[in-house]
Amino acid sequence: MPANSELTHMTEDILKASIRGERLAQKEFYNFFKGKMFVVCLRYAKNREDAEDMLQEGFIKVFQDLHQYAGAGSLEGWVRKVIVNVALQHLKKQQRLLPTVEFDNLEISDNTDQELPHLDEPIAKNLIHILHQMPDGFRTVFNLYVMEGYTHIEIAEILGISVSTSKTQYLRAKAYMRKMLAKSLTT
Amino acid sequence: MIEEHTPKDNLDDFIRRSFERYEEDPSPAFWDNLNDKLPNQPATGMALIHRFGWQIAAATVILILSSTLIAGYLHFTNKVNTLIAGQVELKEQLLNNKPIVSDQPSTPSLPRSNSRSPVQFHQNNPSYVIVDQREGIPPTLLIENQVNAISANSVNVEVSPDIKPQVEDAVAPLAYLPKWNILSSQFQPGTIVAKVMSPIQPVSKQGWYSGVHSTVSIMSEKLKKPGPDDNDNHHGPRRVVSSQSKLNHIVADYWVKAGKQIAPHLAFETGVGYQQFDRIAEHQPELKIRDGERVHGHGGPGGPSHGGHDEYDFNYTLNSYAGSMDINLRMSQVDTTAMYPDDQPLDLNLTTKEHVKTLRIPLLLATHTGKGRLKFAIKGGLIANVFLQNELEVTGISSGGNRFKRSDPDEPVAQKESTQRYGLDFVLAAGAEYRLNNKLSVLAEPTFSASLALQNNNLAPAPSYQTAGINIGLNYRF
Repeated sequence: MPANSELTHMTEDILKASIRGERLAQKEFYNFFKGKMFVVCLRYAKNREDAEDMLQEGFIKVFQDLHQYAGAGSLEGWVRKVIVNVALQHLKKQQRLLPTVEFDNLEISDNTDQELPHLDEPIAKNLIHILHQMPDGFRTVFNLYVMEGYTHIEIAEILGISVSTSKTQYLRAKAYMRKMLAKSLTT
Repeated sequence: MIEEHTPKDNLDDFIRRSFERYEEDPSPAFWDNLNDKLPNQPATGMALIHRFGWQIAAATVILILSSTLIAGYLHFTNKVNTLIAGQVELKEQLLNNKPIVSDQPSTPSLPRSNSRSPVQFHQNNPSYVIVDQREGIPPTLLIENQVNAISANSVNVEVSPDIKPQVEDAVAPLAYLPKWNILSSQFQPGTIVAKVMSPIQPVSKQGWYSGVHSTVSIMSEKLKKPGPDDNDNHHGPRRVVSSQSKLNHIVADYWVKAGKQIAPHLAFETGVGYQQFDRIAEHQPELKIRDGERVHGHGGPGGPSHGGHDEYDFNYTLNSYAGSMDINLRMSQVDTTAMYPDDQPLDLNLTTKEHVKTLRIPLLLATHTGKGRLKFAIKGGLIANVFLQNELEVTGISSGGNRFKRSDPDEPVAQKESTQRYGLDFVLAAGAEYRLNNKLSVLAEPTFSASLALQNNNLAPAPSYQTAGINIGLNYRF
C-alpha cells in the first residue's frame, strides 16, 4: 500500500485523465477503487452476481458524472455515494425494497438451510454471508444506518418509508445479525 | 474468532470496524465487461467546463484581452511607422517650398470620420495643419508648429485618422477633435494652413494617473459540507469541520490606485486597498456522540450514552473565512434519564463572529476603447490579500432538541489555531470612465472576484468565496 500522499497524487492525475475519458486512466481509477466498492455492493446485494451488476452500473455512473466531483472533499466518499445510490436504484428497480418479510419468518432453526458463517474466514466475509440471507429491506436499512451513518429520518426519505419502519427494520436486522453470529459459534 | 471481536453491547461498531479495511475484488473478467459498456467518446466539453469552470473562464478572458492588445498594438505601430515616413517627407517638401510630387507613395489620406487615431494636440500651443488640395494627389494634412495662423476665414474639415502626431506633449485622442477650423492660406497655391482647435487640455505625456476608488460587493462563501462519515476531514487527531451555510454579506473596499498608460490601449494599474467587515456565521458541525470523549458518566470513551450525568468533550477544528480555530466543547445531557445511541447527532449550532481587516494589493492590466469623453475599459488581474487582523469568537452554542447543553456556559470554547496570513484573489472588471475635464474622470466598473486559495493552514479545503459588486471612483491624470 503506497503512502497516503502518493495515493492522493496518483488519484489526482488519474482523476483528470479519467474525466477526459482516457480509458487507461479509467482502468487505473477502477483498479484503485474496485476492492472497496465491490464490498459496498456485496453488502447491498443479494448475491455476488447482483453485486457485480451493481458495481458495473456504479462505475458507468461514476465515469459519467466524474466531472461533477468538486475536488474539495473525499473522492472515495464521493465514489462510494454514487455506488450506494446506484445500488439503491438497482434494488428499487427490482422492487425488492417494498415488501419486507416478518421477522418471525426469519427465526433460525436447526433445520434451516441458511448458510452459517465460516470461522476460518475474515469476519467481514462472514458478515456479508449473513447480510445476503437477510431480506432486502432489512439489509438496506442496516447498511444505510450502520455503514453509511444516515439517520432514520434520512433513511425514511431515501427509501420512501416511514421513520418507524426504518427503526423497526434496523432493530430486526440487528437482532437477526446477532442471532446468526451466535448460532455460528454454537454450531 | 468472532467472539473475540464482538463487543456484547456494540454490534454496530463491531460490524463497522470489521469492514474498515476489508476489500474483495470482483471477477477477473469484470473490467473487460465494464470496458465494453463504457462510452468511447471522451468527456464532453460541458463536462470539462463544469470541472474547470472558472479556470476556463479566466483563461478565456486573459486570452481575449492579450490577443486584442497585441493585435491592436501591432496594427497601431505599423500604421504610425508608415505615416511618420510619409509626413516627414511631405513636411520637408512644403517647408522648403518644393513642389509636391503627385505620386507621393506614403501620403496619408483625408478625411475619415470616427477617428480613433492617437493624434493629440496642445491647446495652449496650437498646432497648424497644412492641407494640400492640389489635384492629382489625395487631400493631405500636415501638422506644423512653426507655421503662423494667417486669418480667421476658416472652414471646417474633418480630421484624418491617419495623422502621425507631431506635437508630442499632448494626449487628447483624435476622437476629441471632430472638427478643425481651417484658416485661409498665404502659403503656396494648393496649400491651406489650419489651426487645431483642441477641446482638451494637454495631459502628461507620461500617461500617469491616480485615483481613489471604493468597491461595494456581495460576498458569497461556499463552504464544504462534511458528510456523515467523511473521514477525509480528519487531519491529525482533530476532526476538521467547515460551515455548512452558504452565506452572503456586504463588504466594502477602499482603494488608492495608480496607473500608467504603457501602450495606446493598455494600462497597468496597482495600488493599495483596505477591507474591513464583521461577519456573523452559523456553523453546524455534524458531530455525533461517538465523536466525543466521555469525561463523566458510565461506559467507556465514545460509547453510547447510558443516562445519568454524562459529559463529553468534543474537540474539533472549525474552518472559516480567514483561518481556523480550535473548538473545545464540554457538553452534558439535559435529560439525565435518556439513553442515546453512539451515533446520536448532537445537532450543534455555533454562531461565530469574525472581525477581519485586510490589506489588499491589486495588480491589474486594463485595456481601453471608445472615443470622446467616454471610454470603456476591461480590467483583469490579481489581488494579494494580507490579513491584518482576524478575530474569531464563538458567540452562541445550541443543541437541537435540547438533548445536550454546555456544561459550563462561561468556559471559553474557542482558541485561535492558525489564522490565514495571506490570500490571493483574481478579479475581473468591465466598466466605463467619463472625463469631466482634462484632469479628472469618474468611473464605474462592475467587478467580480474569487479566491484562489485551495487549502487553508490546516491543509484542509479552504472555504472558497466570490464577490460581485461595483467599483466607483475618481481618477486624476498628471
